[in-house]
Amino acid sequence: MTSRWVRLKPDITLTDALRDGDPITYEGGMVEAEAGRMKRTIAAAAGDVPARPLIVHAALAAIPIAIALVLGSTLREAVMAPVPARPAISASAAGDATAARQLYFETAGGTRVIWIFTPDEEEK
Amino acid sequence: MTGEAALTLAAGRMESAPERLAVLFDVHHARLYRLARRLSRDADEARDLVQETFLRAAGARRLPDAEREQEAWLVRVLVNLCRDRWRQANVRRRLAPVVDSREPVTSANQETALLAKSVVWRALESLPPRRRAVIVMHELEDVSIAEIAHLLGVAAVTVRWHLSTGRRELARILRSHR
Repeated sequence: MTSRWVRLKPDITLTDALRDGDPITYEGGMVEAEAGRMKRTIAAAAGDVPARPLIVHAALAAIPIAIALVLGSTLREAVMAPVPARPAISASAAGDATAARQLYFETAGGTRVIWIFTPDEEEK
Repeated sequence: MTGEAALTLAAGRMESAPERLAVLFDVHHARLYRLARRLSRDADEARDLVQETFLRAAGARRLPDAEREQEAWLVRVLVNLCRDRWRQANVRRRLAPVVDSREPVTSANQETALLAKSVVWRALESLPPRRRAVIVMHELEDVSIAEIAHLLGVAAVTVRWHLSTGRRELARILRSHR
């Protein structure tokens, strides 16, 4: 439905009524003197707005970066923390110079490493 | 907009905030005032709205560089200011009903075309500001629906909806005055 067809009276459409009653038509636009005064007020207000010093901008930008770094570092430590190796010498080998000795430990990923020291190999 | 102002804006050579605001004002104040005047009851209120809009621009951290985007930014601020005032006025009206001092509409003088026009404008005042802005821009400023959508930052379908709802509401208000 276009407003051309919204009729208030047989000879007046909504658009016509809006156009004919338009305050800009009979008042005109803003008076030049008024516009000049307003412009000065606005320009003065713009001059009053204190510009943030560069250091403040830098600090504001640094805060999220610092938070991200700390978080990342903390998470990395939590995830990648090496499980302390638990070397153990087999009880059976302790104190026996001729028996094979073994050393085993687990890596952070859970792999078990077992080293076996045999007296024959050591002599070579 | 003068060619010089356009060049200045395009080149982004203005460094001081007051000068930048002055150029922004020169480019947009006339168009903004027309819209403000059509959205408000009197010229004083319209001037107030325009000044407040530019003061918001003065306090804004960053304004768009392109003239078209600047206009959209300013129009949105203006319509939002209208909406704030409209809401405040509604609250005041609810809390302390005031007698409207303007000429009452009577069925006797409704017959004149002049009054029919004033009735339309009074009916327009009762619409929410964004809807009013859509009707004013489309009917009086011949702004296309796509352009209104851009200016107000809404979808074209929303503009169409405001337009048809606004027309229906105006027709209903006008019928109730007959």
